[in-house]
Amino acid sequence: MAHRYKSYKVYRVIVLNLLVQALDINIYQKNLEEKLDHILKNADYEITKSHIRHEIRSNHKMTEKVLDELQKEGLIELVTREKTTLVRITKKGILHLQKWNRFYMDLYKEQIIDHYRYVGLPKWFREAYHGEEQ
Amino acid sequence: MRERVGEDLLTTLLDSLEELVKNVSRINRWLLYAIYLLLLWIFVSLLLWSFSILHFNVEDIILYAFLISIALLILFALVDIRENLAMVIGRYSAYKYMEKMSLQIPQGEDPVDRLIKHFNISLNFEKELRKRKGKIIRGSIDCGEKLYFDYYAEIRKRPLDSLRGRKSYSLFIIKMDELSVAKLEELAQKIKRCSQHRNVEISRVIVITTKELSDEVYDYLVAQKAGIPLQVAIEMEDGTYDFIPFIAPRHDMLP
Repeated sequence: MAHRYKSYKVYRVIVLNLLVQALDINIYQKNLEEKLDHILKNADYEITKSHIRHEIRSNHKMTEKVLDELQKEGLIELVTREKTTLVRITKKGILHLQKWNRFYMDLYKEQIIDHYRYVGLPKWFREAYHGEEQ
Repeated sequence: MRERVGEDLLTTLLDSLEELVKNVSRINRWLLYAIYLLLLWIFVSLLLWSFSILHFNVEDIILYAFLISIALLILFALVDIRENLAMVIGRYSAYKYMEKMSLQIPQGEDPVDRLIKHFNISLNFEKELRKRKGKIIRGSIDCGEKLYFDYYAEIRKRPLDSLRGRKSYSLFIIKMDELSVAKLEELAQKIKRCSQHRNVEISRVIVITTKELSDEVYDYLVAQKAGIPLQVAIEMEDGTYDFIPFIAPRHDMLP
């Protein structure tokens, strides 16, 4: 059976979580907002458009759409460095995810499980349910 | 055990499947011989059955009718098994293809040439087509009316192809600058008429462009609303193809 295309909204959640994972922080920790400026200032991660495309395993058009929507919402920013485009999560993006991630996980649970069925669920998916315990 | 050991899981799994696929190919060949023998059996039984009818030998009429029924039953089962085994081999080949597939646009005079080169590199397309006595037409083709396509490849069905699990084949490639749902709808209708007239299956229709797609066209394509295997290949500025939607090669490794 053909693999159905997912809505860009599912990919949007995947991209935000991928960026937070690259930042290596627990978004469910207490007083996160106060620490964010410092964390973002010292962030040293390189997620490019190609990484995003690889993660969502869709086409160029979908990758562009997802990044465009996230950028418009102010949840990410795109930084051009030499020939590559780096994707960075913003403070607003992290706080948005902190507030809504569990809701998104419940809403898109089936699609996310389907998306990762051959490679195993990512750490961020499991953490969404156990985050506060850490 | 050795064939199950490797550096990464996917490659190891595919490599271990290779042995299995080789066996399946061998079994498939034997099945083909068995089908030919069964056909001979049915033919001879039909002759003998006719003689027994002419001589009104009731016992022989019943016996040969019984033998023919059994032979037909086995024949259908074998054809079905062969078709499914061919699909297993094909799926495996498609995985292997994915493993080495490159979306880099090759050098070529125009987008159609480049796309054909891409298929030749990844699938040995035109060589495979020639091997199966297919033909290529560039320009207008007879579809009841004269219709123009930038590239058209076709393999017509031959008498024994059904038994060998082979279908007819056609690939249409059309260059377009601006895409809209209306234009794609019109194209789909044109191609449906053409395939009906030429009595070939529509295997893949590729519209090649350099322009970005509108959301409307994108949704139309991924939902496959055209009712034919329609795909757009976009030549991206970064030198790669963006295929929307992605269509896996057929089990006989044609696009």
